[in-house]
Amino acid sequence: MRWIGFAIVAFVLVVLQTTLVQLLRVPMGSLGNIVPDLLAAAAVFVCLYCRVRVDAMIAVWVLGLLMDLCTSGGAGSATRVGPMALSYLLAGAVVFGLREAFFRERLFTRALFGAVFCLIAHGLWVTAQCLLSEGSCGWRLYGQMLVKVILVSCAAAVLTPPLCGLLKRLDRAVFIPGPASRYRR
Amino acid sequence: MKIRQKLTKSALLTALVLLSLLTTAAGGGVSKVLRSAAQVVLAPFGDPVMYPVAVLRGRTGDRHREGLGPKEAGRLLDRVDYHRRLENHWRSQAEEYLRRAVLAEGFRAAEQRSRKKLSEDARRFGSLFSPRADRGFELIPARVVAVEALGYGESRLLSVRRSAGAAPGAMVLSPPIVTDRSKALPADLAVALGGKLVGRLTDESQAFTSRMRMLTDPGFGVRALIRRRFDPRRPRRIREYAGTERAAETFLTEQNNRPVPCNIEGIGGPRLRIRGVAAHDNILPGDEVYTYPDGAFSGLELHIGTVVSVEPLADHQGFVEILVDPAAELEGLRDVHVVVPVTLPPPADAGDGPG
Repeated sequence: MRWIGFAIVAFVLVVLQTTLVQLLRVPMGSLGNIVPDLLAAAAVFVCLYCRVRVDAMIAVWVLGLLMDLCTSGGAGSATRVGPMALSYLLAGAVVFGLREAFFRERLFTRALFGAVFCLIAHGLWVTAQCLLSEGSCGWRLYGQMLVKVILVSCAAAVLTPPLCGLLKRLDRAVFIPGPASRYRR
Repeated sequence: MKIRQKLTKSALLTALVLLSLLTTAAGGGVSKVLRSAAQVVLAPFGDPVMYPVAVLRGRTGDRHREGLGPKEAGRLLDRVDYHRRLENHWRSQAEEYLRRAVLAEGFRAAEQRSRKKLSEDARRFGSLFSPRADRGFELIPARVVAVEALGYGESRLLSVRRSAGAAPGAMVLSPPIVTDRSKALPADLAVALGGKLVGRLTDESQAFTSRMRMLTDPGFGVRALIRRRFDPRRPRRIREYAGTERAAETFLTEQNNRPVPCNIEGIGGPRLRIRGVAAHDNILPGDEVYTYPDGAFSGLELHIGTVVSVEPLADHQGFVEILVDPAAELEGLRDVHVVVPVTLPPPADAGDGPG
């Protein structure tokens, strides 16, 4: 992993997530807005193409932490920094473990991993934040947020294939070194 | 070498996991410090990108309204000027009327009644067009430089200095008529026409940036007043309580149309919710909701929104749940004003003036 290149890409993605991605926001009536998770798509890419497990996990943790720092509301009160990094890490471990069973160049595989990653990471994060919210998050709000998690996962399934394709073009120069032919297609 | 590197990275990963657990367990205080530090780095990069986002989002928003052009703004200024002159005319007419009435009738009681009514009218007119300094509030211009990364909460990052007075809890308004044309219109106009509430500053604010919780966020809550719309063509029944006497059913009139205090909260959707208002207050769609003018914001009523639905509460008989449509245009929010209470100097004694 080229860490300086990764840091630049991660920062650019965070800026885009907090600004430009709002153009992709989908209003869902009483549920509020559904915003696709750009960093989750990047994390899926890292998990699919990074050679070393530890490198992939560190990179995914960093992406989770960045998301944590930019997400302050949700469970009825200000959320805490930390749970998103941990849930990204867990979701990354699942995707890294499953990647050998799929053809990672296929759009369907990337979309599936995008949805699974978001489902695990966001589901855990929402649950953790509701548990930590000291009673300000009721069952109704929790259920509402879980529905949102499913919808965000659907959005991630759509967003992950094109973003993975884009990052694949950068991977040797900026992101992940090594010949891609070594990996299973 | 390779094994040592792997071990080092494994140790680093373990340390990072422990760090995450630590920050999670540490609570909100540490999270606020970390997020405040991140905001400083993010704000300068987010600011230029937010401009096209705000423009595009404002155009594609569901409830987009056209911004005012220079001609419309000019017309608005003329209208304000006309109303000022009209107010002066009414004042002089009222004084003349009072003088004649007192002379003709000669009754002291009548004079007192008339004076009271006229002073009330004058106060109403005066409050509509009083200058900004009289309100005791200052408007600090701010700009949205980033938004919440995910859709689970609704907050905005503002570029506003804390030294300017942007303290946690301060109200944030959308400028009612100024949309990216702040230099074309005088600053006091926005105050004269009143503002629409957008949110409140959270305690995650620091030297150069502040975080604003939008009023649709699930964590948002504020005391409010419902002002019922009085329409003589469509009378509505209310129940009035006078002290310890039994409630009497009557029609809503201008005299008994008192604002109904309540608590309003965000629910994560596009609308706000009010629970626990008595059904006999007979709130109807179309009634307006304002902030409660108390505490640091005494004397300031900001428009929150309009009642769109009133449903009886299933678990509390005799009470209703009210949904409110926000008055402010929340799509494509870019330029906002933070309302900061200022301490007014004590009123000058009339005898000290030069005249």
